[in-house]
Amino acid sequence: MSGEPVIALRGLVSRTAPLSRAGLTIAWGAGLHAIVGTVADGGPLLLALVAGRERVRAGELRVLGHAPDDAAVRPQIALVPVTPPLPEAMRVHEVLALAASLRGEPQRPALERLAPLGLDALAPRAVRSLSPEEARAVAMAEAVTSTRVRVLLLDEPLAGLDPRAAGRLPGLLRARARDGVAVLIATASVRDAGELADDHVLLQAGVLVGRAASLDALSAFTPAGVRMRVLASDPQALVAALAREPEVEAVARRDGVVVARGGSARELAQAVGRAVLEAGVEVVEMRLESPSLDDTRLAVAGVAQGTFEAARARTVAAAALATPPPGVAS
Amino acid sequence: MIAALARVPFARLARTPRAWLPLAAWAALGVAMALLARSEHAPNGADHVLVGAFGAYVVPLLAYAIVGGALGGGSLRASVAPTVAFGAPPARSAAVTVGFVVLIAAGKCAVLGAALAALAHGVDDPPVARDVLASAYAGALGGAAYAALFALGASFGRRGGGRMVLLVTDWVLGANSTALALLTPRGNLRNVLGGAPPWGLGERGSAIALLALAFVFAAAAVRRTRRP
Repeated sequence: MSGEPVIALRGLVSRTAPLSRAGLTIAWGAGLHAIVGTVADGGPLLLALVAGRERVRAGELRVLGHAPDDAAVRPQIALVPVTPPLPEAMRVHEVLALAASLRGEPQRPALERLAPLGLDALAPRAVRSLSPEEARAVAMAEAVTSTRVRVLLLDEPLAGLDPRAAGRLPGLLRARARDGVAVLIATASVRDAGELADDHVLLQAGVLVGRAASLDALSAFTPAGVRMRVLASDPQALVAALAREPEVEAVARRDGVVVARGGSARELAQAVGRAVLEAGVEVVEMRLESPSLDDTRLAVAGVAQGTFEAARARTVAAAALATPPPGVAS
Repeated sequence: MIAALARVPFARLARTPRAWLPLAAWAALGVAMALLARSEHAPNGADHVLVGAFGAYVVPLLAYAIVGGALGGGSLRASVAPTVAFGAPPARSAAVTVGFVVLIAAGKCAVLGAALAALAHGVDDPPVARDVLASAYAGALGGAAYAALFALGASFGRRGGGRMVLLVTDWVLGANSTALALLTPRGNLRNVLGGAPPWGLGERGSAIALLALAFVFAAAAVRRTRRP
């Protein structure tokens, strides 16, 4: 996180589950942030709360220093849910002009706003003629290219998105984050979270269970570590070279594909690179396997449980020292 | 901002053929009744058509179709969701949408009322010019009150199903001349058009009641949509 908090939650409780039990306290500044969890964990609901579309029961929520439904703040927040509401009777270029009017930003040609996501061809189309993926991409283009928006809230940004836009979106989001926009993503995909964001919050059933700065840090929580699959010209030679790398915890060969396991993505990738050079093999394909959401949750829950047990052991020991044995006067 | 907010319901109404069909159908029903009265040389043709068909069926169903078309067939909240997503305050979006349907319904019902009065005019009806003006005035008031009523109905239910409930309620409560009919557009519109008054209220009283109902229903619809 960088700079002043753009979004600040203190003891926030929603009127609806799953954020209706524990109070959430967290802050996000400008940059790329991910809330990792499913719908049942409350990620999309948290986005809706930040956008002022859901009602708060208790606690404090400030966006750009004000309540999210403040008239001055509202046009600066863009929420792109899985099914964005677009005016179905209008054409795409009219929608972009309408959005610019309502947000209070200068009108720009529709092509200029659609081109960054490769959606130029959609400008004259009627919204009702768009596929759900195209409609989502148009809503994404409006939010990402708006000059007024300072808070971008994206629910599963890479899921169900037009493929033209999906490839270009990560770069655009990085550019917006560099411009000082707070980009908050809700996703159930650890892989998407790692690809898109620099800061990850893990939500489980409405409770914040962990926060990590990168996918590496998230992966470090998992007991299984990270895995890399390598399709090489000589799998046997590669297995032998990998076995000599200290960062590689385990290596296996499955149907001609070499699978290596390590503690962190960065160290494993470096180790595989060295092994490939040493073995002199040609790499056809190399892919990092991200930990699943369940792996990450189990790992974080394990860390939390371990911390709790250590603290309890210290408390018990301190109590034992402080309490004199029976029959001894203090 | 008002013009920008009105673009969405306008586009729905103007560009959706499905919204046009019921409008055309109910208007055609009124015109057909007027032509029938004219062909029969009914001495009170205009009076008969305006109180019987126009006030009882055409105005409510036309307003119902206008509200449904402008709201995209869904709830009032869903209809303003696109503009709210672009940063417009929900209350303002709802107020513009409700104001738009009230104006369109008032205008259409005024024009249709005037046309039917002219088409069905009989020898025992008041002078045609006066009857046309009075019918336009009554049509505008009735259209406005009904549109506001259905906008309020559309604020209930995930798909705005309250619209249908209020249509039936108005139909039942407004059919007689009891005090309850005072609270319905149907009872007051019938009175303004020259039919039986609700609870002995005068024509001017019913005109004021229609205006008041339009205002109260519209305000309630906006109030119900102002918060998430």
